[in-house]
Amino acid sequence: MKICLLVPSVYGMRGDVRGIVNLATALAEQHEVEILSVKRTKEKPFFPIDPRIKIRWIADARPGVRRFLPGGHVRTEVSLWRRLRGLHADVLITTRPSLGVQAARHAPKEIVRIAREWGRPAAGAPVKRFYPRLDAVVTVGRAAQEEWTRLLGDDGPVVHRIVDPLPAGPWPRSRLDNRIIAAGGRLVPAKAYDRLLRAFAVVADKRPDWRLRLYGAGSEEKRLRALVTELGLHNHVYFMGTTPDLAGEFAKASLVAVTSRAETIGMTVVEALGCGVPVVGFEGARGPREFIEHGVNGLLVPEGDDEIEAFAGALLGLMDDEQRRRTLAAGARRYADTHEPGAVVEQWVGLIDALRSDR
Amino acid sequence: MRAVVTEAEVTLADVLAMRLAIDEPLGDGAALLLRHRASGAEREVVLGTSQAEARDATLAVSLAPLDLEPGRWDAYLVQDGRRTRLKSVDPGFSLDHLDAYALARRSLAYRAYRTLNGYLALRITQARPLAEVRAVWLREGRFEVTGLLAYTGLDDDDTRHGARLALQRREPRAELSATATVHGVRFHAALSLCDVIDAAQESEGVWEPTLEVDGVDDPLPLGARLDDVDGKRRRVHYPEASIDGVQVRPAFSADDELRLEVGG
Repeated sequence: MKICLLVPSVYGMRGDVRGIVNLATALAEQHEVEILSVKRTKEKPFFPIDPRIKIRWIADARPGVRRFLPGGHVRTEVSLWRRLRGLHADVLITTRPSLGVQAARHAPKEIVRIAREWGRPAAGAPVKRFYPRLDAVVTVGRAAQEEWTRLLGDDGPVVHRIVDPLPAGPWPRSRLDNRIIAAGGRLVPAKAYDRLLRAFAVVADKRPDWRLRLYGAGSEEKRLRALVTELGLHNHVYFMGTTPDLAGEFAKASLVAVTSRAETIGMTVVEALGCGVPVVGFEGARGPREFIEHGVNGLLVPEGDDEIEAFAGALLGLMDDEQRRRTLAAGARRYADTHEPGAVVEQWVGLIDALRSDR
Repeated sequence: MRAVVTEAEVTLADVLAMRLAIDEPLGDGAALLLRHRASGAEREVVLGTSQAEARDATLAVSLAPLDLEPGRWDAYLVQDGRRTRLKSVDPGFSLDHLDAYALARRSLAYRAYRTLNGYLALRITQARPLAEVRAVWLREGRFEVTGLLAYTGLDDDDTRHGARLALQRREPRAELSATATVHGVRFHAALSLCDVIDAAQESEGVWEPTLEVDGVDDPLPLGARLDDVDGKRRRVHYPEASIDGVQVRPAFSADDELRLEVGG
């Protein structure tokens, strides 16, 4: 079976890119897999790509690359239509509502067309109008599955739920003996690292031998460094930069903190759980609760007026209770088994086979 | 054959202690092969056979007799003439253990670690005596630093040792010093920033701090090397202070030694 994954860019460092690369790698064990990237922004993708996966791109947006025609949105869109109309594949999986709409409009009907969705549905008219032409929508989380089902109604395709796979094992495993709290992801406002730094200031005051390692880069870095200085945490907080082996770095920590306001993708949470590291996160409506079961594989802290103190309290509670950390770590590893690539691919192939036989 | 390292650590006696999860027992002639990543030099150590039904094997390989040169060494398992690079799930070290390891006087420091791609490797560095920095402050007009002494051979007890923090500037040449406190292997030192500014007419320049400890032969450079974090200049930013309009900023050098950058 030839499977094409259509992504905006496979070159960046994002949770959804990580999820797609993991899925492509797992599918490539038995199928011909191609990732079609609308834009090429760098020489090489940030995450390592299995040599069995073919990478193609539509618009070369690398800095300094000469183009024969002026760049721009319209030209990219026309190229995308042409590429979709001439696509030779058995299955096309899109990874953004805008790409799902284009696939519904332009990809040949013989191809099984599936929209992979992480976030809440885009309420735009094109989605409502064109998504019914797709064969299926597949979300990562339950909340998104319910929202997409509501949006598409009876006319739309069935909305399924399949989680993102972890990379093939063996996964690194934490010894839970380093006094390190880790956090990973792009340093952008939605991740709310300022909440983490403020909570860690409370923690560092009481347990000064613990360190916080932040993995990632982004627009907020300068502001967060200034906050570290303001809070007097310069000896405690390390800005570790980006790494293609986030799981390996999480395995050096005893706790992973997620203060994000909307953790819809959650690859970092799943990677932390895969290393057997308990995760502490906020309980908010779009927080990491899709992945964290309170008291089983991590802790969820209610958002509100005292959220910083409550988050610090949850961290301190686990820092001082090694037995509880180990119990949650065991729960984390059990949860991560549901993201084992073989099991995830089985669900995808089962769904694709059912869609093809329904035609 | 599938073999995954589930535990790996270099002990205080420079023995690589490993636990392997294996799907078939280790046979006669099974060996651990270490290969230097840059030079390609190889060392092979024959391992004992494991029980027929064994699903894991515990191994201990003494590293000192192997005459390993500094650098990174990748680990392979050799079985029936085939070599398999050893996958690892273990980070290979704990930070507390690295502190304990650095208490002894050593010429080489061995550390096991898991590579970015998930394989077991050894990192070997020259173990020069060092004042390992754990915290730095610029407060109340003073530069303060605390940490612990590494590879000096001093005992981790409450014994007091006479010590001085010295600051040197190469270009233009200047130096000053202040009394420091050393208890066992823990040190604390503080220096007035006004003295740093007044020490030389031209205030701009980079000062290199060293710690002189009674009973230790050479002055100890101040640095941060007893962990897995390289490149602290980029990763750890200390706040600046302004003394009489002159900026003073502690920062790490490219090789993770502490510097005091004045002016500029």
